[in-house]
Amino acid sequence: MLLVLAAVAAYPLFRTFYFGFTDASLDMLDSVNWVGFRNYLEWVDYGDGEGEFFGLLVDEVWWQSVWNTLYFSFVSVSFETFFGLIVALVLNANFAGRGIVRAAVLIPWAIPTTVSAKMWAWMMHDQFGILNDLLMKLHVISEPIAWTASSDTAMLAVLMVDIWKTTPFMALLILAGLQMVPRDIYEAAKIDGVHPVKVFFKVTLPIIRPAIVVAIIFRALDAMRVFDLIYVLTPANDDTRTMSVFAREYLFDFDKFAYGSAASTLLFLIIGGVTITIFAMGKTNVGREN
Amino acid sequence: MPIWIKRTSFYALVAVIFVLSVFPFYYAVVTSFKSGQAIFNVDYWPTSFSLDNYFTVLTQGVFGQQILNSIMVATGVVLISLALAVGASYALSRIAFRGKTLMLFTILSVSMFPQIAVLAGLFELIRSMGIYNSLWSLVFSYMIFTLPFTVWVLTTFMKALPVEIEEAAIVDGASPIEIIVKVFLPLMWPALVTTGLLAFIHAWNEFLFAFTFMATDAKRTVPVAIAMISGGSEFEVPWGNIMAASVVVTVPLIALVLIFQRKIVAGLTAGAVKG
Amino acid sequence: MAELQLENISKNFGSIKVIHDVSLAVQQGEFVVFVGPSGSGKSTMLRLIAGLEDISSGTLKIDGQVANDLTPVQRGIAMVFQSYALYPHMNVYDNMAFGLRRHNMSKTEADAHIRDTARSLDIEQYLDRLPRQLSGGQRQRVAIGRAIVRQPKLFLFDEPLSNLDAALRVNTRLEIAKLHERMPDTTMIYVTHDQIEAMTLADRIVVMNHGNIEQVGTPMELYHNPVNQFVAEFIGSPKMNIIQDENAVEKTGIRPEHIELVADGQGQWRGKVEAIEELGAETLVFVRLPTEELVLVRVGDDQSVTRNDMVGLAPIEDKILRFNRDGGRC
Repeated sequence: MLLVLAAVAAYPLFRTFYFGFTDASLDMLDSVNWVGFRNYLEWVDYGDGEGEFFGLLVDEVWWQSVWNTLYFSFVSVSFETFFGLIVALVLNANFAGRGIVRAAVLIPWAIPTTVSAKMWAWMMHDQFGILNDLLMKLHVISEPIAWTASSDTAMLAVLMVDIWKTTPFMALLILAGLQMVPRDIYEAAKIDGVHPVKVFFKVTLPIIRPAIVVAIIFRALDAMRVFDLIYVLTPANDDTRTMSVFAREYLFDFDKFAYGSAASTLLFLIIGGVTITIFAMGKTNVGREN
Repeated sequence: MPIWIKRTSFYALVAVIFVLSVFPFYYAVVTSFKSGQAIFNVDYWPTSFSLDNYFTVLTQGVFGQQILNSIMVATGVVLISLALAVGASYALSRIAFRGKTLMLFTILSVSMFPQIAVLAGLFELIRSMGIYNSLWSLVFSYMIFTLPFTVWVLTTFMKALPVEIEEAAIVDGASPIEIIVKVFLPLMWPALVTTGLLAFIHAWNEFLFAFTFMATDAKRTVPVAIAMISGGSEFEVPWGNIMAASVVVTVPLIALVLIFQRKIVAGLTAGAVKG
Repeated sequence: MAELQLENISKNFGSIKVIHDVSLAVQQGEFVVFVGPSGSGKSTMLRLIAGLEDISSGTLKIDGQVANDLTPVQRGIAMVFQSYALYPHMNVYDNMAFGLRRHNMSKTEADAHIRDTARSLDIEQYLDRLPRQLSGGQRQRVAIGRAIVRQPKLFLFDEPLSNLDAALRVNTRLEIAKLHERMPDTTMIYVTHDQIEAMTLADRIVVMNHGNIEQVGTPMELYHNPVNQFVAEFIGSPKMNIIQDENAVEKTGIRPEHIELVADGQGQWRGKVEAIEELGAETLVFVRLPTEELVLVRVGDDQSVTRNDMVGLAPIEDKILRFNRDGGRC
């Protein structure tokens, strides 16, 4: 088992790091040359005292995609946490048909990402999409919007689909936390005459906070590596390109394997850094609770 | 606030959640039953029932083969990762050794790896193993997320099994293999079903590896196939076919979710909450 | 049908020694109870005898043969676990049959045997049920049935009553005593932290503490003649009073049932009645001495003291035990 994991994770990871320091291209993976940091940063001298920096570290498209990734992750996880909390609270209540609603909530999670991207692409179609139709009927907008193509709305479109798709996961994790809150705490609060809203903020929220922190960490890690949704819903779009999409484009679509590997390496480091930061914050928060 | 307002607004919220959850799928079904030009009229309710799109999708091209690919890959992934994980989790839950916690955490963190970070190296490895454009490349590469998860959940589950039952079996004279096969496996069915289901869904839905390691249409899995259905030009995208294919791919998953709802929820939360 | 000999048995977990050089001989057909507080090593002893843990040093002999490296089956043991450890996925019949497979018994023979055993334990009507469909007491019986069906030479019990409620515990205790009568040749080893179980069931009690045997003896020997303060306090309920002498070197031990309440000014000690617990058949009186020590006196129901009375305490002379500073007898 460990051998398989090493073969499928550790070894490829180090090969990726290695390719980032070479001139590898898709057709010549066997005969690669070590080029040092050239993929990351290189000073090209034009000979007459003029020159320019090239490489990933000065690539505006790369930094745009880093920004896109962080923006996407932050916004989507924030909304998912908020909606997930609401859905979890609803599912934690006793009402007729709870089982059906819970099953329905799982549907977005179960649909393959590419499939949901296509379903939403159709709903957000600029001419025949039901979303434009609905919003125009409700007089929210006056003319159709090209959701996935327009640079104003492409990120919004991606965020909508992602929030729709992953809120269920968030809700389930928070629900699991809610169900660990002992019932008699609520009964005690009721006898003490504490207002339900106050009970939620003073009792429920602190108790389920560790569960929420864990859920946020999981989702944040997942959001930062987002690929398929964006690649399928808004292909080759500067406004939504994330780090994963950037790396994959260079690796295979543009035939600059080494440059793509360098991007993958940097992506790994950035996500690693953010993870450690979140963990540190999460730990101090949880630590304070205890 | 009067109780009826409270109750009405609560059920309104429930209704909103329900509609938002199922609507895209519902709309895909509605669209997939339309034929010809009808597809370009926005309808909120089913207006026609035509199987043309399904017929086209399933008879033209290689979609049938692609469904088969997905089934084979997902099944292979489930069987191999469960077989490997049962042994590993038995060791991890019963044998004490130095650095065990660290090892468990490393294993879990592998499943949260950005997959793109291993893509380049994995691509090289798969080519040199000669399984490029073969379904085995997917079975192999999917271990990166199914193995850590299954090992984690099964280890947690095994730890919860009382040691005394194992000891009772030893006192009854059962051999180690008998203990695993006759005592542990029957007890672990719930956990095996849960993790197997999740591994299956993961493998069925995966896009990046399937998209990268498969070069020809006949070898692709369904998520890639659906992403790549296109018409002659931007304006000829066969939306009806795409929606039909989407429904075909999604229905088995929704069926699994409805049948095994509790098990899936338990598995998802076991993976996370215990972390 | 087995004699058991432990010779200088020790057990280490890593660098921690949990059993120190324990030696003991158990006769065939004897019912021996290991008793002690948690962490005393009594459960480890049982597991060493069962073959579930390896013996670090020393010799374990069964019927005169060295058994250190034998498997549990080769040792001819059966065991009843604290949590019963029934196989949850097998019905009662299969639970009992699982250990019988290697007993060279024909199917019909085994079947008859299982049914006989089940009948004797009154669980015949549950043979098709799964453990989770049974009550705690029924599960307990199945666990015993699973053990006796194998006709063991050595029958081991690991705190078998601790998961039962109080009323059921008394009944099951009686049944285990009857079981011992029915199987006079089977050696039984029983581990518990409950000294009442030890007193009622044992031919001989082994009191353990910190991985050592403190004393071995019949229940009455331990009650009347404990070798040290630990045994004296552990055996008997309510527990023995220990009162410091004025010189603060030696101590007097006297059981609550061996003190009489007398008028203030008489008896060996005087003190103030702090609390009275009337239990019906008997009354427990708590008396605070001037030295702040609390002495418990057990008297009949006809006592007429009230709270805050000053009373005298008169111990029965020949029941007094004397202990030195280290807790040994003197």
